[in-house]
Parts: sequence; structure tokens; C-alpha cells
Amino acid sequence: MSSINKIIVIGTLVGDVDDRVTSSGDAYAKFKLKVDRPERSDGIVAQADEIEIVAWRQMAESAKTISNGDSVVVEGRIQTRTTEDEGGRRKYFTEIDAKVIQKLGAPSTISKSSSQPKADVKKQFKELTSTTVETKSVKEVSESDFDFTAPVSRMDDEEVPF
Amino acid sequence: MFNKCFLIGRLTRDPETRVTLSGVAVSRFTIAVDRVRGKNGQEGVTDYIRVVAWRRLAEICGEYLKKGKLIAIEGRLQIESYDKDGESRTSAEVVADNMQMLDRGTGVEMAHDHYDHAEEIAPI
Repeated sequence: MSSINKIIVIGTLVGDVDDRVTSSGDAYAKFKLKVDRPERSDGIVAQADEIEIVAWRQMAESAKTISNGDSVVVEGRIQTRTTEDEGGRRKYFTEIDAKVIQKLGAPSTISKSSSQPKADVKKQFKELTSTTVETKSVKEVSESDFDFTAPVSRMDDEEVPF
Repeated sequence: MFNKCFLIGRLTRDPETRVTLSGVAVSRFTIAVDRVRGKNGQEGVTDYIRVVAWRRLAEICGEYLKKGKLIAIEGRLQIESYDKDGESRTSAEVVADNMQMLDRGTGVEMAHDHYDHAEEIAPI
């Protein structure tokens, strides 16, 4: 049977990422995302959902880069599972098995642009200053460029359309 | 914030549809969504996902959905917290914004085979 199971959420990380390794050696990480519900038309303040996320293997590695309070995008699938406690009672869990974890507003882009070679920056600066000088010389004007004798057209306030 | 999901699965049983005290129709059902087979050859694993629909969409679900029907659901994942025997528990369900029947069944059903009006977000 062809099934589709896709979900994408954006939320804030609540608490810390709990990263562990299973007895068979697979790394996994668990965390909770607080996701605000859409605004309600009746004015009642919308609640938020705290969604459990689980990340396996390489995804568990990316989960280590996020910390409490971060805005995070998670893409994955909804997964349900049941466990039985000592009393034989069944417990149901619903969580997202993450396929993509991306921190929002990550500083990685900033560090990228600042790591430009120094020579390049110098060259850019030179270019910038030279063009400024050029434009200045072109734009330089004197009083004689203007014809002050030309008649100034008068305009009635009533004619102004605003 | 952003919370969107898309599911295709089969109803595990007929939906339970009723009207709340304030007169709003609500329909609940569970869909079975098979997992894509993993690299380690795991097979036969199915996720059972609870779905809730409100208002007009709930009426449509109640009228046309039956156990075993293949449907597509678009909505958002919602987590409810509640107390049971003094113990704090949570339950998760997908609040449906949109539903489409995918079975190419009998002609009668096919006439109503389409639903493309996004429902308003349901009040709880």
C-alpha cells in the first residue's frame, strides 16, 4: 500500500536535548518542541503544543547543535508506539521521527562572510573609494550651473491634489 | 509558528461523529499509515494516527468515510494534556484541515469524492 506520512513543524526547544545510545550501539536524541497553535478567530489566546521529537543516528548528531530556547525546524514523519509498564498497562506515544533538523537564525552564515581573505577586502575597499571619488568629481557643481533668472511658475494651493 | 502534516492511510474503523453541546459537529477516527521499509528490512510496521475533523469537514467524514477507506489528510499535529488517576498524560491527534478520499470505489461515492474547502481551525 502506498502511504505518505510527512510533517514539518517550527517551534522552540523546551529543555535540553537528551542524547543516548541504544544497547545495539545506535545513537539517538530526544527533545521537545513548543509549537504555538494558530490564532483563534474568537480572540481566546491560543495554546501551544509540546511535540516530542526523536532523532536517530546522523540526525542525533544535528540535534546536538541545538539548545534550550532555540527556534528549530523539524521535518519528518509522525510515529506512534506503545509500551507496557509493570502493571501491564499500555502507554501510547506519538512523536516525530526527524529527518531534517535545522536551527533557525544560526550564526553560520555570519561567520562565513566574515572569513573572507583580507586581500579581497582591501581590494574591495580600494574599488569602493575610487568610485566614490569619481562620482564626487562628476557631481561637483557650482552656482553658475543654475539659471536663477528663469521665471518661477506660481501654483495655487487649490490646484494641489493632496 | 508552523505545524503542517500530510498523511495517506486507511481508516481502522468507521468514524465516530457527534455534535458537541454548542452544536458543532466533530468526527474522530484513526488511520493506519504503513511505514516505508527501512534499510534494515523492517516490514509490517504501521503507525496508527488519530485524526479529528470539525464542522462541515466532520459532517463529510461522518457521512462518507468507512472502515478501510484510503484517504489523504492535511492538518496539524496537536498534543492534549490531561489527568488520569492523578497521572499527567498526553494524547496526540491530527486536526484535519482537508480530507480527500482516494479509493476509486462505486460511482455513487465518486460523485462526492472531492473536498477542497479548507475548514476553519476548530475551537476546543
